[in-house]
Amino acid sequence: MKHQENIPETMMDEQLAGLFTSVGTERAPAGFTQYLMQKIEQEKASGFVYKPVISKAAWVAIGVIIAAVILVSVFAFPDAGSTSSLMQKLTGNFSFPLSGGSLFHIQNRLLQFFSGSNVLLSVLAVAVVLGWHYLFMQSRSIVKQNRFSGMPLF
Amino acid sequence: MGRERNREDLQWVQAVLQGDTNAFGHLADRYKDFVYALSFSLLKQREEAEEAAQDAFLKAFRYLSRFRQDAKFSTWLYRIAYNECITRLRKRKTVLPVADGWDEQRLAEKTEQDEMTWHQREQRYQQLHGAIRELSETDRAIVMLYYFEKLSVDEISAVTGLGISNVKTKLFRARKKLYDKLMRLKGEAVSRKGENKK
Repeated sequence: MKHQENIPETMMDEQLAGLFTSVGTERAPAGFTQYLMQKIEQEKASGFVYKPVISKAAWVAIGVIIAAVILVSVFAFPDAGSTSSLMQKLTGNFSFPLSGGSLFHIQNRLLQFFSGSNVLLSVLAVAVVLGWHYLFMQSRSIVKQNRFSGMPLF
Repeated sequence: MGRERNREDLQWVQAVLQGDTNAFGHLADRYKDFVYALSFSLLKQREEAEEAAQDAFLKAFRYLSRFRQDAKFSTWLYRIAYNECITRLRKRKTVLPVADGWDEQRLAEKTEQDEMTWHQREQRYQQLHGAIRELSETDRAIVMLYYFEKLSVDEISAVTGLGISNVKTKLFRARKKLYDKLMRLKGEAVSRKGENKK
């Protein structure tokens, strides 16, 4: 590399490119590919497939089922579920002046449905299960990562 | 040559996706050196760089079906490796000192070459890599990708996730820093030689 003051950028670039090419870079340790392929074979043999437990299609199906259950419960069994006094007051307030409006009628039914203690408990239970599943999967991937990182190399 | 290389890569990718695991070995052989070099440049620790490079390849293997084959395999792989190193750097609590460039493999090469040439080359190697290590993490990656892998600014942007203009600015500054540092080192070496002669 020849040193020049105020050297144009293109020349600087060319000189550096020449130096990088002549000097070269670090090389992977010997046996790198073999060790990697061993890991891949081990992973294949263990049958561990990195796929989410619940696929996208399954999530869509779950969503549709939940929506269907809610809709059927609201419209087919309007009297199901117990209502708290607060909710009764709320729904009462909503319903009496606007008895003719179908939108408020639906709102009324939905409020009644969600105020049912069984329904709330079910929603909470599902949320807990999904949260647990998420945390479990995360810890599992961390454990797996650590297991690989902690392995002695060669 | 680049297109031919990429076409070959895509053939191997197809083979892996069809169940031929060994085809992944060809991909690993082709890219292991640069993935390791990039990891070492970012992490500054040989053992960790090796683990990071291994993990990057493993992730590439696991998620190969997600690779869009209209892109270059190398760019996709480098992005995985870069992200792997950045994740590891974020997890680190302590800043490691700058590593020396000595490596048993490099020392082993000495026996195969003329002693004088080896020393000259080694000196330039140490100077260049020492200067690279003084750059920031992102700048190091950009310089490595640009000069060693001859990636375009667009491709570097895809690997690092930085905007094109940002990459250009960083490259411009890193190049200047690197050049100045190397010139300073060269000047010091020349004056040291002069003193020794006296």
